[in-house]
Amino acid sequence: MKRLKQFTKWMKGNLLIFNIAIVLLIGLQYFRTLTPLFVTHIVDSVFGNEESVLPGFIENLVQANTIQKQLLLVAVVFVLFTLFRVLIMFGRRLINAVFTENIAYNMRNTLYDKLQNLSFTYHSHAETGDLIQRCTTDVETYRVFIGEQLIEVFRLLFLIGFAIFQMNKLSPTMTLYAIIITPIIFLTSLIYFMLVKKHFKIVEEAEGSMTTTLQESVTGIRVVKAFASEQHEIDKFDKKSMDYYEKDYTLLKLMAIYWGSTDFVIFIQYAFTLSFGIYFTTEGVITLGTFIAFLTYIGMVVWPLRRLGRIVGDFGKTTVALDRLDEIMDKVSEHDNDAQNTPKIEGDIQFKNVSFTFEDASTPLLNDVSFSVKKGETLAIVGKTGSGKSTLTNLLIRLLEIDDGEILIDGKNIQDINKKHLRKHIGIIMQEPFLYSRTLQENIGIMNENAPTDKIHQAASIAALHDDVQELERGYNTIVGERGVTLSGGQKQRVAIARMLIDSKPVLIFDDSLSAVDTETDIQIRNALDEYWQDTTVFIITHRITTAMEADKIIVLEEGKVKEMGTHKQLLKNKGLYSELWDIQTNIEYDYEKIKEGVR
Amino acid sequence: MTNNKDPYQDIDHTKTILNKQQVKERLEKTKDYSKILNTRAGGGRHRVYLGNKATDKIGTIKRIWNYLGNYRYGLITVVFFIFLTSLLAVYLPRLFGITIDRYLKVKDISGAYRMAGIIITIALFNSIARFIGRYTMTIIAQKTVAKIRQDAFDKLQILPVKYYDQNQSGDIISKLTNDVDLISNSLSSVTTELISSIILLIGSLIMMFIVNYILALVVLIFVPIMILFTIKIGKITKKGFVKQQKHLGNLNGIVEESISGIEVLKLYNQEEETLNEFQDKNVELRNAGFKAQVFAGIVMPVIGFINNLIYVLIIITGGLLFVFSIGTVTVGDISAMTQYARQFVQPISNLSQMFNTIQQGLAGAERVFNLIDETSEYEQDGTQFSNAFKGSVTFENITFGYEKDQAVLHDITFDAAPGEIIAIVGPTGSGKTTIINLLNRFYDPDEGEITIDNISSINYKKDNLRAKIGVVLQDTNLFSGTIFDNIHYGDQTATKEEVIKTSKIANAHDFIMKLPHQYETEIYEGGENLSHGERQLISIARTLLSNPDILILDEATSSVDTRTEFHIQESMRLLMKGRTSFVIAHRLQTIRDADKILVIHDGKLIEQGSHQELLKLEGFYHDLYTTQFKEEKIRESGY
Repeated sequence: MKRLKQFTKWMKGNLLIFNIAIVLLIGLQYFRTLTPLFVTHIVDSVFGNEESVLPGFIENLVQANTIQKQLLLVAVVFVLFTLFRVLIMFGRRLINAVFTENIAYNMRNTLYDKLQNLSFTYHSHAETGDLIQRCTTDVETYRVFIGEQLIEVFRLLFLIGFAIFQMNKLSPTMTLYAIIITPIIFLTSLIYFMLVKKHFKIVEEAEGSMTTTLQESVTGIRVVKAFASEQHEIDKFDKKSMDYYEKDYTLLKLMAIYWGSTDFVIFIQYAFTLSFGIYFTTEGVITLGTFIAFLTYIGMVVWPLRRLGRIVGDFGKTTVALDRLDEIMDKVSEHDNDAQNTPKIEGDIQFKNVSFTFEDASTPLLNDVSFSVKKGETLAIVGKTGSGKSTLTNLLIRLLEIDDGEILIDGKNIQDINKKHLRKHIGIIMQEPFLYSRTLQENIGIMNENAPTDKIHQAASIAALHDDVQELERGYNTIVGERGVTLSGGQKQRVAIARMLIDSKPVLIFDDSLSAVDTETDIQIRNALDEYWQDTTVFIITHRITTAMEADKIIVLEEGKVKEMGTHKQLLKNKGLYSELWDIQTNIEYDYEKIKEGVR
Repeated sequence: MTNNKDPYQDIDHTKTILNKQQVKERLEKTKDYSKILNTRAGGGRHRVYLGNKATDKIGTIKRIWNYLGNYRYGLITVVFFIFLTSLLAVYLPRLFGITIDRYLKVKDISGAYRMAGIIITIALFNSIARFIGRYTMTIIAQKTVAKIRQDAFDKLQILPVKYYDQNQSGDIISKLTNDVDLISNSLSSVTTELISSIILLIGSLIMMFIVNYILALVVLIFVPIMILFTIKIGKITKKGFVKQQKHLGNLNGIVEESISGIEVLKLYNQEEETLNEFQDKNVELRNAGFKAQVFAGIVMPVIGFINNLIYVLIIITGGLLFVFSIGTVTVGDISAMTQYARQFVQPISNLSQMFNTIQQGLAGAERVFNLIDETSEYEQDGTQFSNAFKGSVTFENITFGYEKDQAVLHDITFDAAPGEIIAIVGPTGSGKTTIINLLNRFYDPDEGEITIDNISSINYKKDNLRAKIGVVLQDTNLFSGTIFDNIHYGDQTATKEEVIKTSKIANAHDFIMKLPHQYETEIYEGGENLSHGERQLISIARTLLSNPDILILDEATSSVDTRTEFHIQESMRLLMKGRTSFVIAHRLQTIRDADKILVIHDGKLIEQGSHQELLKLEGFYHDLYTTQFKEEKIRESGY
């Protein structure tokens, strides 16, 4: 029952059209089983004197007084009948195309929407390739299942059913002999495919292993050659290749046995039908026309049965694909049950005893962190790699959710503020900015698509990017990102900064992003901030003390804890971590001065 | 994204490795094996071939034929049985017709049974023959393809690095996987199908004329129509599916971009915009898919219709001939004719599909053969062999370019005495890596001479030279297998004790022992389950085990945690001890320790000397040192 629901879930909205397709399909199969009767009619009723086996409505059309006329009529009716059948067949395929494409379309949209809305925690644990595969291969598997396999099952079932029905109408006794061993075909097929399935997997794995060896050897060719170990690689590959060959060969043998044995059973059934057919025909139990029709009808039973077994045996694949899709669909979107409040955000921020532990980590990344920043103030956060600096800001914009404590903005708990609203008003400039494969103009204006050009240029100027852009051949229309021009790390950084400067934001976070630009640009940008965005609360995450020193408040993080907090002066007085750091870094400066002097 | 990698740095390894394993297992469990199923089932209908056609078809066929030549008896078996079975298939309808006319109509039961007996025997024999033919062909195809694949791989190993630099690794891999699959498909399915189709086509035609030439002519009318139709519709359908694949590619591009940039997407509230973009592309894909399916959907009904039309015409014409007693037409004849018509038409409607598969196979084969025909780098090799280098290296007026007339290095001259450490510095793209490529003969210089122990390097045997020159690259390139396997790679003859001893020296032993399976820990996906620093340590141990006389180090630029960094520095220093070492240096300490610094800028050696000497020059090095390395130093202070 759960499976059925799983299968039908994705068909929502397309069920009616699917049912129409099935009805047409059933009609088609019925018509198909009528065709042999035309032959029987000609043999038995036109040339012979038997009663016609054609259904009444067709039989009425082919009445005539001479054999010639009758023949001609049968021909015309048959051609028209076929034409009619072909038209329906085409219509059925058209409908099929409509609903399969529609279903796939809906699935992709739904999945993509869902993926986007899953939490950041989910994405940092998932593999991109895997997710993409789900969006494409798994959707395709289901599309094939619905559009081809399931339809095929219906088609085969009704074809077999109608064929047996027609045979039974012609001669129940003969029917019994004509289908007596067919169940074996179905069962053999079904069981076989269930059993042999794991061999497909074994072969696939062997192939995968071979491809891995190949891949590693190709990408690591410099290492291979540097160690002069070509022969070793060749031996390794030969081994994998032979292994793949052998497993593939085993599978081939298994498949050969399958084809051979089912062929044989089908053959026996044919021989049975033939022998009994001859007997019954000569005995006068059935007519010659009926006998000819039977030979066609068993073809409509035995081959479809074998195919049916294969398809049903193969259903498992779809189940796996659907399970994989469900795994995503069952995850809770980060926007479900999100607060709806969208208060005006001023920029007073308070962290109260905040703790956070990553899902699979044993030690907390942030431990009992408390501090507060007033609107318009600048807060600098210094600390080692892994001390929790970035986690802190990710918590603030609710990319991650805190485990303990509270984060307040303007005195309101951020859990009660809508996420999208929050993120819209807190700007983050990341250390490794991500550029879309669009123009520079669009990349800068990403947050505000209606931003006027002069505003974009102004932002670029402040971010010390404008001159660089002018040097590009296509200026602001240059396509950047993965599929475009590659910018330098510093340029990317400045694009990211410019992005944030398009509209003023109550809160702005520089996540180690000022360190990639040179000191001059750093100062220029900070001056611009002071000038245009005095009311903005600024977080600066940095390892460069000179960047941090002018902040209104400095926090030193170590192992997820606030070690020190205060202004530059206070912290220097403390003689703690910060002043140690200050000494080291100013010493380096001092070193340089000395080198310069020494050189002179 | 880096922000979020940090949290993992301190996670204990048991956990990370377990997670990776789980991911891997899950991926394997749910792996899609539809491809293999399709090949077994005779190939999906909708597989479209997107590549180019083969340029030299005859040549390619000859090459394939050469490979097949090893299985002469097998091939004879295949041809014989397929021939036989097709002939029998041609004869069966006739037999059936005779049975109807001679025995069933006159109710000669014993005669009918005799005929039935003959028919059954022939049919049984027929299916056995067909089975043997196909089975043998598939085996031959598999063996041939395995041989081609191994030949291609063997060649890959002896191709110069240049080949790898000029071709994308994905393309190279695709030649040994996809292209080889294409060959396999066309070999195993098409060969037998082609032979039997041709025989059926000709045989049925002859039989039709023997049975009744008037009816045969009726069938023949349809041949041109069928051929034109299948070719035309085949082309349209292919175009449709190509378009569909293109749109699918676009869509995947969006998914990939937005998933790898999910953090930004969320930060910038871009969810709706990208969703809209996605939906637009999705509509395009849906429409393209719809069109492709509709065109593909025309084929079957039309062919079916023509089939039935022929069927009817045979019966009508036959019936009329019978009634008007023109010639001698019997019921059996008509019955036979309908079956012949079917056997005759079937191959024609399959023609375009078969043609397509052959086309693909040939194109794939040509690409693989082109690879096999590439020139081995060992064809031009020196003869000199050295058991151990003392380690003096000179570059004399070396000029080199990857492309003709585009020199990357100009007139480089320097020398290194045995045991010296030479640091190479300069901006990205200035030609540092090229010097290393020349030193271990991944490339040979256009002008000038490199000598090692006073013998020109091109006189040495390449593999001898490379075995004596150890390399630690930035990109560690670990192989799948255990950690032990990876270190052991440095010297395949080393014992387990030697590996452990070396690892200890290289500072890798301690962290390895903390892993859940120690040296037997599996490495996944190039070492993603290890931290960057740990991979570096393994790579160093690997080189140390190979005990080279000359060393090339490409210092990693990416930052690792201080402790590991310290270990790496220490083991690198150990590695360099007593060996002539060339270091592409990024760290201040390394440069200061060097005996000589080479400053490369725009392919020219603009300054060389010791750290102090170069600073005094107040030239390029001085500038580089005061700008680039300052920031480095601040980072090195730990924060």
